[in-house]
Amino acid sequence: MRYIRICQIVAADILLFCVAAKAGGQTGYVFGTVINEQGSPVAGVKVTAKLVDDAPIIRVIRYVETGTDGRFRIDRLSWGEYKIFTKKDSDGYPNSASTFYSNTPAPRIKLSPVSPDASVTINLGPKAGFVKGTITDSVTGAPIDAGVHVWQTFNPNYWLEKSLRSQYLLLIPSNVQVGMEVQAKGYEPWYYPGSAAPGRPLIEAPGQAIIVDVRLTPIRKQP
Amino acid sequence: MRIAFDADADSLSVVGGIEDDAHGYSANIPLGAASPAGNARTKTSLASTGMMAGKQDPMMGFPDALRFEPYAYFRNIGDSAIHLSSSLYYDHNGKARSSAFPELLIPPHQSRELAISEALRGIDASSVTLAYSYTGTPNALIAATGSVDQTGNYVFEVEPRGVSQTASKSAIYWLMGNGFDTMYSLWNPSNQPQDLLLTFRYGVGQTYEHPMHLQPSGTAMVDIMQLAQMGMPDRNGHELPLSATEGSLIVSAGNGSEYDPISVAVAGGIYNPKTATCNPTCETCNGCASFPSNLTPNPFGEPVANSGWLYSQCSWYNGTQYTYNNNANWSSNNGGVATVQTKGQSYPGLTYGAGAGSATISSFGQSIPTNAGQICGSPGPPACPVAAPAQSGPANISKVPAYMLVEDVEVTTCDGCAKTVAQFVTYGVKYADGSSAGSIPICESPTLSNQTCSPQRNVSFNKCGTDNGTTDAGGSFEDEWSIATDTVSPIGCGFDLTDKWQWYQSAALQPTFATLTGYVHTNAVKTNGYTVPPQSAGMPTGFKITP
Repeated sequence: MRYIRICQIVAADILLFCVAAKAGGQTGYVFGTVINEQGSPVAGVKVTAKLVDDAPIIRVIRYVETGTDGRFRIDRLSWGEYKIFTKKDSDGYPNSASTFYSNTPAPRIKLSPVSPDASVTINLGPKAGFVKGTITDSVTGAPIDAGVHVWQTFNPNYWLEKSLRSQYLLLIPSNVQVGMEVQAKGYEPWYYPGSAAPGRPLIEAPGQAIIVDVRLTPIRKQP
Repeated sequence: MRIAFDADADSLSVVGGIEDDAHGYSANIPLGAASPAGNARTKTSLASTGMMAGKQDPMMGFPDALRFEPYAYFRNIGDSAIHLSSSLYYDHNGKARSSAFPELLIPPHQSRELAISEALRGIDASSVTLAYSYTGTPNALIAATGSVDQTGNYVFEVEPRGVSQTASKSAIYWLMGNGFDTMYSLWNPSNQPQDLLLTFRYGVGQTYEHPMHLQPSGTAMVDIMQLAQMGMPDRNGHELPLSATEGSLIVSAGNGSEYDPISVAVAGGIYNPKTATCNPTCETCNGCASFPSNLTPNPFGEPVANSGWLYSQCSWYNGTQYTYNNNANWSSNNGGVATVQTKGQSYPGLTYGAGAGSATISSFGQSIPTNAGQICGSPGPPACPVAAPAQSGPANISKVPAYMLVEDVEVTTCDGCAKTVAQFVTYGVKYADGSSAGSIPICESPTLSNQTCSPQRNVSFNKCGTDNGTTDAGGSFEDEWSIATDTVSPIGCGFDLTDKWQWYQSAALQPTFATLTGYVHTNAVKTNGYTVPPQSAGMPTGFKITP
């Protein structure tokens, strides 16, 4: 980044007053490193900066990926305050923007003409738990694409709904009791661990994986 | 007089004149450099325009008794005889007339006079144009033409100029006031009438635009002082002020375009009737100053089955860009990828993407006017120069994204929200054959209506050009729809939406590959007929969204 320094000399007391200003441009950037619970850099993490302005949004979420050294840089950011969010599902780090997964405040940075760049270190973790398995028709065994509704049982306002393929992988927050409901058009709702109504919750340790095969029962047609 | 020297052609500069020490009369001697004998013989056509004859308009300020006689002397400085064809053009009783001279044979290294005065006997014309042509080596003939009064005191030389179709011409300096005046003579050598525009520039950016109509073979004279003194309004109703003491002139087609072709011989002279002095003015053939080797734009890209423009352009002498698509032959080296219309077709330069890939498009300009700098002295170049520039450039024809598929749908509360929902959909952008579009710039063109939330805020979207998004290497992107805050009311408020997703191919080209319709409310999001939550009622994976 190139700067120009404007120095004003106040003759009376020979005071140097210097202001650093960005040379041209109306955008800035944020850069930093993503590390795991052990302090090691994590590669392949998707990082995004979201403007804090309460504006309705209908746009692409722009992600950049960390390199092998865990570093990232997001440029072309207009002036304003941003939250920095991350995700890497394959390593058990879900989208940090979702309150279902994380109550930890996201890192914030501010960009302006006098502070056109900002640095941030992001600590991932704890890891989520993995739920994986298959979704099939309980009668025919045919694979089914479905949707899942998961929620923290002690705070149902923290929820997530997601499309699932018949062979699915789902992340749930670790060390938190989670309810799980699977729905598909033409089938009765399915609740973990395999009932027609909410049953006992799921709870997993960080990084733990369990297999849950879902058998959906077709809705009986009324005679 | 013949001067020979053994050195480079440009190493010797010679000027000459004749003068009368006793009375102070003087005149220039035209000097010419003979072309080498081996040079090709070509036809050269020239004209000496506006030679004064007889009594002149009293407003020009000459002594009342003054009478002019035109003269024309030629010398053959080549090694072969020249057969000179010549004609005199003048206006008689408001009509353009002409009279041809018998062919004049001029042996090598000899001079001949053309008997103009005899031809004009009995004809009432105050100004005549002498047009002549010959076939020989370039510059084989030098000419001294002009007018002289009966006392030999007033000698007004007229320098011959080339006769051909050109772009506009400029005269870079005219003078008016303090006894001086500038007069321009224009002659139409064609057999078609012409409308011209004479734009006099003066002061700081001021112009006086004087239209002129020339009959076939017609001649016209413009005296700048007379224009000012008569207060003659120009085509914009402006008068030329007497305070405009100097300036320049552009002679262009009647529509004012400096690029359009005209066929007119222009000669000017700055004269002072009191001191009996006259100096010919210099003219410029306006044209291209330089030709880039590339077509514009470079590189050029467009989708398959679309048409776009390539331009053959040059830097005009005044810094503007001149496009000469219509005067160029165009070709493509790969018609399977791109075809281009050429001269004679409806839209030369219009390029059609026939198939994905890259082709080289070439253009070959024909007789493109070229800036020749100032033409001063006699006889000047026989015609304004033209060029045949070649330009080329790549045409990259791309496949067009045709639709997108729903890959994943996620619904949750928005960041920092307790109740307001957000829908995250991952779409995969595809070509018509089902293959992934890969990483491409995308943007959206939304239409919002029925906004019911209070307070209202501007909606954040990917505006084309200034805020493009990008698909990932697999052609996917994640699209968030949400009111994004709990701090609006009433509950359930929002807006309706039609959102066209476009491929940002260029500033001029953004084809739509998918259109989403629905609404975004605080408690629900509807997309193409599917409303969430619950997500199970949302768009299924694999759902196809078309333009």
